[in-house]
Amino acid sequence: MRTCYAFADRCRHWIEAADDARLTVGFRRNKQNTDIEAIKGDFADALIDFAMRRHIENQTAVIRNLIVAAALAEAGAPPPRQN
Amino acid sequence: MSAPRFAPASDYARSQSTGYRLLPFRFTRIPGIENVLAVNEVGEFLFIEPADFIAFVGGGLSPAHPAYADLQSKHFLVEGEPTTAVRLLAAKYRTRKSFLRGGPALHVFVVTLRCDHSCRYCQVSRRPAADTGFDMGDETADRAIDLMFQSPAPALTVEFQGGEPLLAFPQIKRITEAAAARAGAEGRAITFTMTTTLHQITDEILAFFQRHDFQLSTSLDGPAALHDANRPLPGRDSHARTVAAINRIRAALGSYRISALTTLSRASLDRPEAIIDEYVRLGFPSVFMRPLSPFGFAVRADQRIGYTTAAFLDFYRRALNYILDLNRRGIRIGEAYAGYLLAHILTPFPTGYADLRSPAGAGLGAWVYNYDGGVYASDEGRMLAEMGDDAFRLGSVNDKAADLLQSPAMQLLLASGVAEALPGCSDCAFLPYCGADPVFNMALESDPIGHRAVNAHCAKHMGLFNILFAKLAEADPFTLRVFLSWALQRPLEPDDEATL
Repeated sequence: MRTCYAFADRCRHWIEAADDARLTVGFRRNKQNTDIEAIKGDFADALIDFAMRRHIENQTAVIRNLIVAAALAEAGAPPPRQN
Repeated sequence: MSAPRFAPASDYARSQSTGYRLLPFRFTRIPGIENVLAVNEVGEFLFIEPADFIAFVGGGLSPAHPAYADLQSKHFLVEGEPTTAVRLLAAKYRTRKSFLRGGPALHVFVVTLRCDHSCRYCQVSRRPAADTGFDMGDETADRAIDLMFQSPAPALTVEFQGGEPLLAFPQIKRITEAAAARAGAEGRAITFTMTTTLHQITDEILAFFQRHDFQLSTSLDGPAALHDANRPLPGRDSHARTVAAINRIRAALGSYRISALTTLSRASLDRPEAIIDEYVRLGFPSVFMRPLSPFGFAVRADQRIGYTTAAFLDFYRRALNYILDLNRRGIRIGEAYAGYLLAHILTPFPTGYADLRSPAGAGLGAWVYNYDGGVYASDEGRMLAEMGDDAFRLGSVNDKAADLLQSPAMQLLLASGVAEALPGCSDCAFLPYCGADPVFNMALESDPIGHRAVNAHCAKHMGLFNILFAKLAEADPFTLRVFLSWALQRPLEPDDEATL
């Protein structure tokens, strides 16, 4: 889905479940002169990158939340002043 | 039964069978650069060879590999117990977000809508100089000052805008004197700034600027022909009058008191060298290459003077290369927007630039007091209201600060102004350096979140980050020193030429 979102400026997509383990992604170009074959290649590369991003997120989500919570917990800000 | 206090033990498991654990980071590929750019949660970055990157993410990078120590020292991986790494990263994260601590620090007073110019790209709403009913009244000004001092910010900045603010100089004087006295009584720092054409300057105004340490910003679009075409006056002498006023201010107040920015029209795009040369000729230490804004008169003039983001980025790349070339030849000139972006990339500190904040600078970092008593989250929010959409009107000067902070406009900003939670931004490698701009998104897409794939704010900043990171990847020593001097806002060291 994230890969499709990133490519939404170049083409429209539809996604169907081919079977339990596979998805079929369809492409329809937004502009007549768009090279759809080039987009398919770029999409395949981007798909691998987004899969890696998801892997990294899954591996680091707990520590990310700890970092943000620790950072903000110690940063109490004063309330608005009363006139 | 109470909720568990800790995540399952499996969440803390080390990456596969090796001895390190990944720390949070994002990555991207810079066009023309082979190595992968990885940026951690607090903005530290490194370039890594693709095969090494895959090994690293998969948990199989050997501690003996040369990249391992870099990844460890820059907090992309940690061995053993992560508590120390978490605390260090939390401290850095808190520093990056330190702009949140003080509340709204920038307070913009729109003292009049009247203006003597009729610029084609004007992003503000202007009225003819002789019109009446478009100046801020005393009661509105007093209430706005009260509101400003309800902000807990220890250091306040008052910015005067218009129209042409100097057409309402008596009100500026009144507000400045009242705000300065009150800041003194409350022990708060206060800075006064103004965006002005400078054409209304008098000796009395100069003495007033001197007394209150005003920092001035004006528009200078390049050589006379370009400037006068963009900023028409009946006498066709806008450039000459601006330059004369700049010289007068420098003589009276010192050169550091006045800066300039150039707004880029379509006619500017094939003339980056001429624009930069004009700034060098006039002795400015930097030039600010500002593209057209999608507000006000600029929207109506877009067919005649507008251009694509791609065209702007081509211009910007050419301009940056020329600026770096000049510096190599010993001519010191910087590009101000690159300075902001590089400060975010090369230092752990935030800048005062509201468009590059997450949560958004609008409302949280700045309030705008319109001449009619309306209070807005940003000047662009005020402009959007002029265009018929008051989504970012926080309230009025008659409200309390606490009411403004709980207004529907503020809730909209908080719901749509945290880049970490926005589609397309949340996994972007440039996130630690960039920001959310719900007002811009609303203006262009009628949606404060925006659709990143077609979003102009995103396309512009992705393009700029790609240009800058391509330079950082090339790692030319002189370019790196120039970039660092812009990021730190310090002059290039005298021996930097020795590296040529």
